[in-house]
Amino acid sequence: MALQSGEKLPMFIGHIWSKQKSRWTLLGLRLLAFLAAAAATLVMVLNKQTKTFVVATIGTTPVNLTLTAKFHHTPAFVFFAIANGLVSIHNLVMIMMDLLGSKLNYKGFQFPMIASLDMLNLALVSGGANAAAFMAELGKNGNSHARWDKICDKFGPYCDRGAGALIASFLALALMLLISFLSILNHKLVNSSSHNSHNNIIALPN
Amino acid sequence: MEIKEANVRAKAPNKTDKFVLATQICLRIAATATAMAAAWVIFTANQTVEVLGMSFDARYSYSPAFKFFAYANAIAFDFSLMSLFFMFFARHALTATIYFFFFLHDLMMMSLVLSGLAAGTAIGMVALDGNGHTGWIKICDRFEKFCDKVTVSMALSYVAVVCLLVLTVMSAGKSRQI
Repeated sequence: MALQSGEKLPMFIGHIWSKQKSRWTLLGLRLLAFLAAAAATLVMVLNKQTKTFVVATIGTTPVNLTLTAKFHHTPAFVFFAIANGLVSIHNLVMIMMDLLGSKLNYKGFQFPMIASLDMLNLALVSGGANAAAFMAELGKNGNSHARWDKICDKFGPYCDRGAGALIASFLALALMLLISFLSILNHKLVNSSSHNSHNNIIALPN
Repeated sequence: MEIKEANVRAKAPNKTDKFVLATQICLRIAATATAMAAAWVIFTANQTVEVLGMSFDARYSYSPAFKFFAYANAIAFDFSLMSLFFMFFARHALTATIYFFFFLHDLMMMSLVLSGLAAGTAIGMVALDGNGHTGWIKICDRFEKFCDKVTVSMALSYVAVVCLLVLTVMSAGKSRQI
């Protein structure tokens, strides 16, 4: 059988999850994560709204004030855009490496590099998405204790587009989590099935 | 078949294994301690300021971002403590599958604490510097003690995240070797 007595990985996973299927699944997930992160970056970077307010009336002529809401006014949104950009580049590079590069060598240095990079990018997109989410919550609800007014009632479309970017980024975050988990799982299954003649226990029971 | 099974890689724990296990336990202790310290500091950070006869106060529960940060650190402390006990008491019987579950646990905890940190840092920067475009004034010049405590809490949380990141990579490495 594929696994020996020390390993407890359930048998049905080994049957369902063949090596080819796992490779294409991972590739598909990376493609989705790339698209989600790229969409989030683009929507956030192109997010801008200009609105004219009437602040006073002198005689019969109104005094207008034009305000613009841009994403780079808020440091958290800048971090969000950069983080999602980096994650989409990472996924693109991983896809290219899988399709065009050589076969993954599980014994060499390549696999820890890929696993570590996946985890670092997961951390990055997690940070970016959550920072922007709480800034957006502050803009939507304000904070009465700190006397910070909400801005989403005045800049509705800006907030809606920002919400769309946030949803795409959280989707990318979920996908990156799944990708990190699956690439380690794949490696375990491939490693176990290629060593099926060895015992995998640590200590021999006496 | 019998002889082949008896000759196989039955490892008695050698020095490298002991070193790696000791490192894992130390890192888990560090992550647990810093997460607990961060949660403690922010749960007890409150300050009241009197201005012109009116009193204003600041506490962590007035901002959803700080609440999320506090709860994330508390949850990470709980789970890290449980994983520390598990690793300590099961230290002679750790297989690759158990290391895989440790990897999952560390990944989840690192992600959670980092999310809380990002949220807290974003709102903290607004509190520290204000935001001229939206008309949000800074509050850290009034509430200095509160801001200092929140800064300390976040610094501790950053240390916890670094420990958890190293633990994640180590657990992933150990889960594929054996």
